[in-house]
Amino acid sequence: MSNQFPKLKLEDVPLKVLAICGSPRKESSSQILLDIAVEGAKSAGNVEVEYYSMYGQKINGCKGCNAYCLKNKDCVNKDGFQEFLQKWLRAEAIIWSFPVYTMGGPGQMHALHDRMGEVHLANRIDKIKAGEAMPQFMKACGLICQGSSRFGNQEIVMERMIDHLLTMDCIPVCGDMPHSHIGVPGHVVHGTKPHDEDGLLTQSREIGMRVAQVGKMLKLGKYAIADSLRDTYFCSPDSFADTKRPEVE
Amino acid sequence: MAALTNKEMVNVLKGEDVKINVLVINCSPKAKSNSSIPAAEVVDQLSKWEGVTVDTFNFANKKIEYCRHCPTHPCVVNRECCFQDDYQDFRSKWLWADGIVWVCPVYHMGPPSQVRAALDRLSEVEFGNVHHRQQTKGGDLVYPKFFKAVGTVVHGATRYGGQELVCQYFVNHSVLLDCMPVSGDMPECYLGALGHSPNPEALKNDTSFLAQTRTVANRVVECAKIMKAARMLLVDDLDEQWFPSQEAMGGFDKEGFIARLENQ
Repeated sequence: MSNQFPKLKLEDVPLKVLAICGSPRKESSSQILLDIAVEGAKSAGNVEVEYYSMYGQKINGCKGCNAYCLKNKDCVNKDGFQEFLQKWLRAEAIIWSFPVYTMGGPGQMHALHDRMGEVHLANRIDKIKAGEAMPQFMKACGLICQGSSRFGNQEIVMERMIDHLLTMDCIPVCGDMPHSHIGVPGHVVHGTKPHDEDGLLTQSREIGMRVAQVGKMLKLGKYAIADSLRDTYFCSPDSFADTKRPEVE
Repeated sequence: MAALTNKEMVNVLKGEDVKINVLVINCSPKAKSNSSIPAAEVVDQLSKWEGVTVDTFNFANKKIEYCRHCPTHPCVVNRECCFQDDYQDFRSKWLWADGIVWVCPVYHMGPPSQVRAALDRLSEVEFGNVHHRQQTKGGDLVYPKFFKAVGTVVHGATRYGGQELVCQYFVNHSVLLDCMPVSGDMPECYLGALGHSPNPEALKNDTSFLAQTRTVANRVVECAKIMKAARMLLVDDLDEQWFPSQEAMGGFDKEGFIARLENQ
């Protein structure tokens, strides 16, 4: 059987990675760790990186108005959300780096999830009513979450993020055991920079690399058996509403 | 580094030629369980796929000791748990599977303790094997990348009775063991298929829940095939960590993966 199909190399699979900084602060610890993770992702080869940061963005909360997004297929608020959505759709794998605020992530981050979920649904509502499922994005996603206490709710915030990933039909990817259980949690004391005493920098790099590897495998696997998969596995990188199967020239 | 073109990747395999094994686990310790209703639904849905071999494991009437975290670490020394019981059968089936569907009742805001015991021992033996390899052969602690597709179906006796939290337990277990948690189809299925089972009749009549269990089965098949297809194409390139042994928890067996492909 194995001589009936091509043998490929993982580094040759091209991948678009989105690196998201969930901190609204300038020069944040989250950004430092994210940059290290991006280095890790790039080490997988043929990786194209885009960035999105909550810093400097105005991001309103979702008001659950629904009527506007159902009619217009976009959010009523025009702010940092639209850029986020474009980049999120284009990405084939995502690295999230964010701080713990009061027992949750920064409000902006959750606002983006709320609004993305609603706009996603609005774009697909006709197809859903016709019996189709929502798209299976299958983006490989890794989480880096740091807080100012040793046990400062990092794991619970990551757990909430994993739930976001599952509802968007993405695949959570952790770093390597025995240290990375469901993502990379870290402890950064206020006023200090992230350091590698507990392996936080090493693990950030590692999860970036794993996200790229798994992202490439999911992309390749999906492409390889494309004809046997439903249209919903091929959401357009430009619009939640459309299907776009990979073009073969 | 030349990047592959779409032409070199798209449809290079046929979906039905990517053979996978799926294990359906009924977590109820009861012989006549409510869980058997959604479990049968999952098995039936899996039978509609080509290239899918199905097996089941049932926690009813099984003896599964608790993990003692033994101070002498027999699982590191012997690469095996010190207890011989139905755990070994559970582990064999878990290792064999490319995709897993957990069908589980809610007990005390968690799964039945037998299930937790089996998973505690599964990860400790993995730890033991990985450490044993490092101690005897040197190098880093290298854990297998299973990337099994894992779906979850949970039902409980009340409408909001811990179903989501039990589902979350299986999601966390999956990420921890380097697997891929997958849900069913949105917009109904958020983390997994969740149902309300005050009695078996209610469960049988809950058509929405049973339809969701089928979408979980489908997604597990699709995702397991996607990952298997990637492993097949990258077989010469990926290191052995991506080809876990089907015999030993924590071990690698790339040759076995290749041999099974050749035997198809």
